[in-house]
Parts: sequence; C-alpha cells; structure tokens
Amino acid sequence: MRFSVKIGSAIIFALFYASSCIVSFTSLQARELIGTFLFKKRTPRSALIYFPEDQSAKLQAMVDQKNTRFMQSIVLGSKGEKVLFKNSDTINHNIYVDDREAKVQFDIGLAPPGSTFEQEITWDEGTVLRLSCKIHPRMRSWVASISSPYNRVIKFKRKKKKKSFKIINIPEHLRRVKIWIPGYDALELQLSPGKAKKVFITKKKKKRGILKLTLQ
Amino acid sequence: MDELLPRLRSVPYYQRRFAALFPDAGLTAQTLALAIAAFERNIISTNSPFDRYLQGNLAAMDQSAIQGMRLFEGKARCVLCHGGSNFTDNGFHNIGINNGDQGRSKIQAGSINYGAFKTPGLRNVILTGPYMHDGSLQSLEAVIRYYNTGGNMARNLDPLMQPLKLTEEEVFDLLAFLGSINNPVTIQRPQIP
Repeated sequence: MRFSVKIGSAIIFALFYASSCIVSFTSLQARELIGTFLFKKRTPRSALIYFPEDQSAKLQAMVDQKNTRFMQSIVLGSKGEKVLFKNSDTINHNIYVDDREAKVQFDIGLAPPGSTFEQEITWDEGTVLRLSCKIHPRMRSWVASISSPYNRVIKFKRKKKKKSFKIINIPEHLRRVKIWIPGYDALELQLSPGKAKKVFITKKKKKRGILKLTLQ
Repeated sequence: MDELLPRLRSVPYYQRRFAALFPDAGLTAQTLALAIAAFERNIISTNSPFDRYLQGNLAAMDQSAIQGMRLFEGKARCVLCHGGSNFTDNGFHNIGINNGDQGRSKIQAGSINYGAFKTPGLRNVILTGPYMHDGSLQSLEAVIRYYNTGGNMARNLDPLMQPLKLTEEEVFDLLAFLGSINNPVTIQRPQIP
C-alpha cells in the first residue's frame, strides 16, 4: 500500500513537472513584435500591421457612423465572414465601395439613423477597400480582408509624430510582416529575431517617416 | 489646358516661381491646380458679427439675429446640412429644386445622388445671390420661404426636407442671422507679372 502511494505520488509529480516544462517551452517559443513609427510632418490617422503567413482567424468587422464621420478608420474582416455597417448618427448616410482594381463594387443604399446592414466579405485575402458615403463624400474608412490573428491597427494622434506599439504571443515561425497605411506605399518585410529593422515610410516614394521593428 | 499652359509658361515670372516651388515638375496642370488650391485655402472669412458673438462679444449680434441663430440650430433645421465653421457638411442633398437636372448622379452613379447638389457654405451668403443650383430663387427671403414649405415633391427628395411652420417674425430673424455671418474678404485683382 505504501509502495503504491509512493509510485502514485511519483507519477503525479512527474506529470506536473512535464506539464510545467511544456508551458515553459511554449512561452519561450512565442515572440513579440515591438515597433515605433516616427513621422517627419503629418501623421496618418491609422496604420495596419499584420503577419500574413497565419490566416487562421475568422474576423468579423464592424463600422459605425456618427457626427458625419466613420468611427473606425481601419477594420479587419476575413473572407467569407461579414462586415456590419451601423448608422448611429442622427442623419442619413450611405456606404459604398468602388474599387476597379480589386473589382469590388457595392452600395448599401440609403442608411437611415439607427439602421444596420451586413455585407459579406467576398474580396481576396490582403485586399484593403476604401469605404465612403455618397451623401458625405469626405467620410473615409477602410475595410481590410485579413485573417491573421496577429495584427494591430494603430491609431495616431495628429500632433504626436512618434508612436510605439506591440504585438504579443506571435508564433516562433512567423517572420514576414505587412504594413499598410492609407495613402502611403505598402511595405512587406522579412524580420530576423533579435535584429532591429528600420525602414522608410514613403508616400509615392517620397520619405515621410521611419518605422523601426524588432521581433524578439 | 492646351491653351492655358503655353500662355502661362510664356511668362518668365511664372516659369521662375513654379521652378522654385516645384523643382521636379515645373508648371504643369497638376502644379497649377496645387497653386490655385493653396490660394483658395487662404480665402478665409472670419471676424463676422457671428464669430465675434461666439468669442464673447454679446453686443456683436442684435436680438433678431440671435433669435435667428437659435432657429438655425433648432426649429428651422438648417444646421442639419449647413453645420460646421463653414456652414456646410460638404455633402450632396436633393432639396426638391426640381428642374430635371440629375445633379450629382451625372458624376457618380446611384439613386441616392439623383437631383442632389453640393451644400454650399453660407459665409457671406447675402452677397452671393441668386440662390439654389440654378439661380431660381432671387433672394434669401425667398430661400427661407422655400424651405418653410418643405420643398417641392421630387424624386429622391431628401428626408431632411420638412415643412418648418415658421412665423413671419421667425423668417426675418433667420434673415438677420444670415446677415450676421458676413465679412467679405477683399482680393486685389492681380496683374499678369
């Protein structure tokens, strides 16, 4: 009996030790991406950064409108899922997309106050479309077809030219990162763990800022 | 543009200035547009009686204009389209001036754009008659009385257009307010250098 209890305890201890090793091993394998944007003059409203190699997420997007503005600058949704358009404003709005290059066109028609509309995301992975309102053409927002769970939409404040961010729990094998900023040239980078990478942020090839990324 | 660009390029001053400002491009249709846009952005009307009232000078507007301001924001519903510092939402609306003009929908397809025209800003509006996209209303009083009716029945009439039931006094209070957002910007007519 004592001998059985001792073996039982040993087995339990071994299992506990093994599981803690597995947890430690997993934690060691997850990485984090640390980045800093620094713009020379004007900052954009927002930026999108993501790891395109992992497309395992099923993201649902939502865009709302209030005070004659879109409340979200960039939203992410996966192909096959839906984007929900809401109008929380006190006036009529509309949402449409007319992207000849991506061959995506839709128009939800008149969206009265309090209305909602679901639009299926039919466009290809990695496509970013501009949303606008036909009644108020200055309204702009962006919906990106992204299925990467490792993503971040970074919001900038107008007068703050420097902005840092972090993406955590990134699987060890992911190295490629994409950066998309409305109106700027898109970037795609290959990162090496532990090595900082600095790239210029450009607009029509003119330098507008710097992005520093470290995958650690 | 085929005639304009050569004419402008033949003026040495413009050649020098555009070369200095746009060293990569010089004087092109694009840089010409940028220059004109920069000039237009400097045409800013401020310091009207309304602006001074907002800054704390309570004597800048008389009682009729103050009452008109309250109507503008409230019962008369003007602010729903003519809001913001320039009194425009920069949007497109069909307000029922029904002369068969397709309006915005000629530029951008969509039933929502049919008969819609851009909301103009209202600064200095007492100087910019006649009114509406076709100049069909000769006076601001006629404009206010038109809005008071809720607009003509028209295809794609904006739901914001509703009868206002303004009294005679309220019509003239609104007129007084529209007169208070007046402060013309004087531009000296330039000579070709």
